Amino acid sequence: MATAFQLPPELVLDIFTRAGGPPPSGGSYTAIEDHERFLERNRTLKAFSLVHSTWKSLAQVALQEEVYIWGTTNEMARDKKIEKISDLLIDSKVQGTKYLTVDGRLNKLMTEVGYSMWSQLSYLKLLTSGGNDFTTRMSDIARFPR
Amino acid sequence: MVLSADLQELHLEQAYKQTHRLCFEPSNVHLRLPHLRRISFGRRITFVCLSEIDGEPNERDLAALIPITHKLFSPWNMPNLVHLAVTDNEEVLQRVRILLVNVLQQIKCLAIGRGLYQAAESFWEISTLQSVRHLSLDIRGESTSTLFNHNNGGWDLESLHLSGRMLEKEKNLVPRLIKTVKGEDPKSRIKRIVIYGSREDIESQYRDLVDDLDAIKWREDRRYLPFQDFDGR
Repeated sequence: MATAFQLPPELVLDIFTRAGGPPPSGGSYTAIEDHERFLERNRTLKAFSLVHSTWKSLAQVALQEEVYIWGTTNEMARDKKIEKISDLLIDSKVQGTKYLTVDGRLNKLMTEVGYSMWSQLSYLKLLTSGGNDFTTRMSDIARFPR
Repeated sequence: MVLSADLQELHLEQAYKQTHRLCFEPSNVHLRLPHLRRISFGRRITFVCLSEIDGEPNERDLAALIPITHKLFSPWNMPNLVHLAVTDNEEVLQRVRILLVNVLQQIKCLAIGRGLYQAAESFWEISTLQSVRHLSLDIRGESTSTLFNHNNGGWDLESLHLSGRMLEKEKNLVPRLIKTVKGEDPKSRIKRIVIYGSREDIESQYRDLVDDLDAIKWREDRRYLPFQDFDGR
């Protein structure tokens, strides 16, 4: 482990994030596999952040790169769950998110947290932007800031 | 007013076995996605036009969709769109062919995912686009035998990705693939062929071609062909 501390923290982080699965790799075929990849990545990065003080901030940045809102196997995330996650995102002042997956109503999330926090978003995966009838309006996608 | 977003990837997923309706409205022609390079349509995606009057989706109104999508999905609005992944039946593929026609000529990496049972006309029109350099196909049914026969062959690809199970039922396809990847097919050029599945299963059926199978690359560790992230590698 002493040798690991002599390596640049960025390099170690890169190794850890790859081991846990990079943010949306797309290699998984099902939503369940994809969500498990996200959880594994989070677990790895959280453990990584605890190993050494110099690794903490790097891990935090990497953790914020991806936000994944998961429903259940049978139904999308309910609005109450989205509200709870939104509160966490706001309280944690999450920023720099590049990858966003929403298994719920995208518009509900945006109503809660606003669009400004997604200024660095480059990857969006969704199954509805609007109501419970699983519709996505192209105009909702245009609201993400430049 | 032109609306613009910096998204690079947009993935529309099937909604828990429900139909996911992607809704367009006339004002969408002003939407620009200049950095969008990848778009994927999962299963059960339908393209609908929102009526200007009541806002209700009108799934049958293809005529109303065309002027919107032809402007939205255009080289001007999406100059960097080069990756397309689509899965589902012939009807969806046909809609993609019609509605995205203005950007199809710039697609370099095309993935046609599970769900298609036959290589119908829309399939050929999309998969044989001159711009496509990397093609991933996962087709079920009896269509694989026609892969190289349509339009007298004429494939010109950097890479072709196929599932192993597509080959198992087609006795003539493997020898044809080997010939092509070795550069011995005067009609087709495919630089690299990648098979996802067990090489052993294929070897058991083509014992006289065991050594020749080295000309093909094998991904035995992956259960499925790349779809959303397909980039030819």
